[in-house]
Amino acid sequence: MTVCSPGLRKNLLSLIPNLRAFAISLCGDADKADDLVQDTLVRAWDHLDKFQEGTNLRAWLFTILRNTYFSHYRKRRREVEDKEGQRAAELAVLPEQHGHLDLQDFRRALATLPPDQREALILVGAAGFSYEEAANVCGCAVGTIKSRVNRARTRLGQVLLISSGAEFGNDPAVAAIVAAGGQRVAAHK
Amino acid sequence: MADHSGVPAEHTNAAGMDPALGQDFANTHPRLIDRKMQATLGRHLRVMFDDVARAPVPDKFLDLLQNLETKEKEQHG
Repeated sequence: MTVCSPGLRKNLLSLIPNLRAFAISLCGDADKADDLVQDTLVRAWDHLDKFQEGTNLRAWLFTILRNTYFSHYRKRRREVEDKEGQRAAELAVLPEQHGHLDLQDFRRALATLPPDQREALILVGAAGFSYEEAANVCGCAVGTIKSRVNRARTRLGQVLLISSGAEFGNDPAVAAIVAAGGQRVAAHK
Repeated sequence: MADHSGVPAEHTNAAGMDPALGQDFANTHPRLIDRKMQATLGRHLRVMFDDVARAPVPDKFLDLLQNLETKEKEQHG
């Protein structure tokens, strides 16, 4: 085991806010997210000798975090997926009184996505990773990431259209797209 | 619908969409609607992420790194 260099330690510290943002977006629960970040930091620390300084520390840490997340949560995935339809239905009667969608609503909508789609969308759409970087983090092909992101966008778009009436739902043109089940939206990616 | 992609943006884009056009508009200009929706989606994603990423780091994380470092120094002299 190598002793962490001061530069690396500083970089590690500076990336904690990003790790927290990734964790909470991924698991949707602030307390769990912080546990996940702590686990990630401990694992990263134990394997710092495997990190090559000068390469992308952020991507390396994100990889550890998502691997930790999926190994901890894999057992629960089936259960979550089974509930998806039900949760989407609950969301559909949500906040029509709002002029805009608040962050909590958005997080709830995000939570209805299958975990692999959610992860891809967060990496590319929120954390600003390229498709290639995201594919490295997830350990899958670039095409797989693209397809997950597209499916996630289409699906989340539908949920948001339904739940944020004031933003989109009053627009007949958009309502028509929703009525079409987002098929057209998906077809024109 | 790909044959409608050549419609000049200025003819379609004024307020994003004209509700009066309704279904016809949806049929002929799905890409505009898609773009508007995706822009909003992207904005929400970034706001959600930055909301946490800009928050101060709780002390427990600084303590954790401090502890890891202390432990390592003890182990390796």
